[in-house]
Amino acid sequence: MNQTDVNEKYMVAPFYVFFLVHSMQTGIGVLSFQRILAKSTGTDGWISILLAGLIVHSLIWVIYKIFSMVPGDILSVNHHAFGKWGGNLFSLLFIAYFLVLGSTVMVSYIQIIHVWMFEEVPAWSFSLVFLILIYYINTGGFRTITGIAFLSVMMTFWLAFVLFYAMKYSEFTNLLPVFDHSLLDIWTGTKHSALSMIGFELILMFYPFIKDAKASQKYAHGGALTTTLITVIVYLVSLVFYSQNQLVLNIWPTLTMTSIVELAFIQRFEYIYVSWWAIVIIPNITISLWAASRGFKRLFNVQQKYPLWGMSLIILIINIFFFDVDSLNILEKIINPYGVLFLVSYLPLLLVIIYIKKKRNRL
Amino acid sequence: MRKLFPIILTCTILCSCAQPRVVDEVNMSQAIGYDILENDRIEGMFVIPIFQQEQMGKYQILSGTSSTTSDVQAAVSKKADKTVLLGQTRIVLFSEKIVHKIGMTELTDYLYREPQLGNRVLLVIVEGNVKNVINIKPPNSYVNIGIYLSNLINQQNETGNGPDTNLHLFLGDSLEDGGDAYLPIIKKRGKDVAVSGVALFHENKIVNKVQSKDMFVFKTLVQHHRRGVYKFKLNDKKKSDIVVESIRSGTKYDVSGSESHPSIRIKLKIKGQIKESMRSDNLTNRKMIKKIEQDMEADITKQATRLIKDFQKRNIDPLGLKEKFHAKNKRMTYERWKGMYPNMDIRVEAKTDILQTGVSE
Repeated sequence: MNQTDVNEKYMVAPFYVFFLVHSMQTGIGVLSFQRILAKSTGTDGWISILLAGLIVHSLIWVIYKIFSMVPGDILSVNHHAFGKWGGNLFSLLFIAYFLVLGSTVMVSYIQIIHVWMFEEVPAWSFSLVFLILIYYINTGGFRTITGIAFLSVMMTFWLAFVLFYAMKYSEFTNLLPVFDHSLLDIWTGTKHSALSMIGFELILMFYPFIKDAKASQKYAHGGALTTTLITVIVYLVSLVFYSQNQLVLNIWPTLTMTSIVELAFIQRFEYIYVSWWAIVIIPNITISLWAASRGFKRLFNVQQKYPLWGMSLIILIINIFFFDVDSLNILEKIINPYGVLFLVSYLPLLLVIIYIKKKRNRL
Repeated sequence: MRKLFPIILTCTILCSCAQPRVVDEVNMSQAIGYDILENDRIEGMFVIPIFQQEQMGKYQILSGTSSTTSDVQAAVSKKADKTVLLGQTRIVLFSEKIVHKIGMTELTDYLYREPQLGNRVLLVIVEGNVKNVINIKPPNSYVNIGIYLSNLINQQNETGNGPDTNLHLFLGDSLEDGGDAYLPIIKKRGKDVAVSGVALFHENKIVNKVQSKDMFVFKTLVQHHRRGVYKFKLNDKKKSDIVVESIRSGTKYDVSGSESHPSIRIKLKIKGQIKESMRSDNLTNRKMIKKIEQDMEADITKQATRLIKDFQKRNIDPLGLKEKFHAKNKRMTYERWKGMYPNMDIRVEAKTDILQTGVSE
C-alpha cells in the first residue's frame, strides 16, 4: 500500500468541507424521505430527523477522533487496526459501498426523470451523459470536485425557498398532536430518514486532501447541521401541506409540492425543479465515484482512471440491463439498512480498537 | 482532456432521444368531462383548443367511451389526428351519477398518479349530464368552454362564496378517515351554466349538498374569505333586505379536549361593508349600524348552527373538526369519533364588524 501523503497543491481549504459534506448529504433522499417517515412517525417525524442529525454529528466526531490518532484515510486506518488482510477486506467493503451509493443516486434520479418528464428516453442515454460529465470532472482532481460541490450548493440553495410557496395551502393543525408516537416509532423514523442524512462518511476518503484538516471539523459539523435543519424544514412544510394519508401516498412529496407553484411565465414549475435537481445530483455521484476509485487506486496501486472506467461501465450496465423499480429497491436496500448499519456500527468499533491499540503501544 | 471534448459535444445529439411535444402538433386538452352511460361505460370528453391565425377561442370536443378513466384518453386518441395530452388541463368535470356509481377515490386515482396533470386542476361536480354543460357555447367567444368554466370556478373561489378547492386540497381531505371533502357543483340553467352549490362527500360518495344560499356561511366555516357577499333580512317591522360584502373573515376553533364532555366552540369573525340597504334610513347613524351588526351576527349564528346540526345528524364532517379535535386529544380514534360526533356540543359565535357603508349615506 502506498503512502497517503497528498501533495499540497491538490489540497483544499478546510472551509470547503462544509460544501463537500452538505452537497453529498443532500440528494435523492430529500425528495422522498417524507413518505416513509410519515408512515411510521407522522407528526413526530421531525424528532426522528433531529435524532438522526445527532447521530450524524456524533459519527463525524468519531471520524475526526479516529483521524487525530491515525492520520490518513479510512484505508490506512483499516490497515492500522486490522492488519493487511483484515484491513483490506474492510477497505473493499467501503469501496463497494461508495460505488453502490453512487449508482443508487444515479438510478433514482433517472427514475425521477422518467416518471416526471421523459418516459420514452432510455436510461442508458441519461447515464451515459452523466457518466461522461462525471469522468470529466474527476479527471480534474479533487480540487475540481470541491469546486463542483461548492457551485452545486450555491446554485441550488434557492430551491429550498420554492417550498414556501406551498404554504399557501397550509393547514397548521396537521402539526398537532406532538409526542403522539412511542419512542420505538420515533426510532423507526430515525432509521427511515437515514437515506437523506448519509453522505458525511465521504470524509473518510477525502480527509488527507484537506489542508489543516483538524481545523475543518467545525465546517463538517456545520454542513451536517445545515442538512439536518433543511430536512426538518422540508418535513414540516410537507406536514402542513399534505394531510397524513396523502403524504403517505406520494412517492416524491417534495416534487409534488412544487407542482402547486404557478408562475406567470411557467405554469408547471416541477419541470424546472426536476431538471435543476441534476445540479444537486452531480456532486453526489462524482464524489462517491471519486472515493470508490481512489480507494481502488490505493489498494491495488493502479492509476485512478482505470477503476473509474470500470465503475462507470458497471453503472452503465446496471442502467442498460437492470433498470427498473425493482433494481432500485434492491440498491436502496443495500444502502439502507445494510450500508447504514455497517457505518453506524463499524466506525465506533474502529475508534475503540484504535484507542486500545494506542494504549497498549504506549505501555 | 482534448480528446474528451468532442465526445461531450456529441452528447447534444442525444437531445433528439426525447419526443418533442409542440403545441399545434398535439391535441392539448384544457378540460376533461366524465359521464357514465347506461351500460356503465365511462364517456370522456376533452375540450381541445384549435390554434389558427386570427381565430381566437376556436375549439373542438373529442369524446370516447371505455371502462376506465385513463383508457378513455387512448380511445379518444384513436379517433383523433393527433394524440391527446393532458398537460394543460385546468378543470375536470364529473357528473353526479358517475361519482355515485364509481366513487371519487377510484376516479381521482388516475388524475393524481399522472405526472402530466398538475395538482391545481379544479374538480367540479355537474348536476345532470356533463355533456350538456360542456356543449354550451361560452358567452364570450375568445375563450373555449374549458377555460371559461375554470375561470368561472376560480373567480367564484377567489371573490365569491365558493370554497377554494383543487385536486390537491380535495384529496387531502378525502384521503383521511371518513373522507369528508367538498367540491363545487355547477348546473346548466337555460343557456348558461352557474354554480349551484357545494357537494359534500363522505366515504367516497356525495351524501349531501350545501345550497347556494348557504355557501357564504359554509365558506366562512371552512376558509378565509375575501369578498363573499351575504344577504339577510333585518329584524324589524319591514323585514328589509341588507346586503353585506365581507372584506375579510376569520375562523377560530376552541376545542375542549375532555373525553367525557367534548365540545367545540367556533368563533367566526367577519369584517365587511354594506353593499346595499333596502331601506331609506340613514346608515351613518351609529345605532343603526349596531343593529345591522347584531342582526347579522344572529342570522349567521343561526344559519351556521343549522348547517352544523345537519352535518352532525348525517355524521359528516366537511369542516375537518375531527383533525382539530385530534390535535387536542391524542387518544382519539376514528371509531370513537364517529360515536361522539353526532352528539357533540358544537356552538357557533359570530362577530361582525361593519367597517364602512360605501360612498352614499
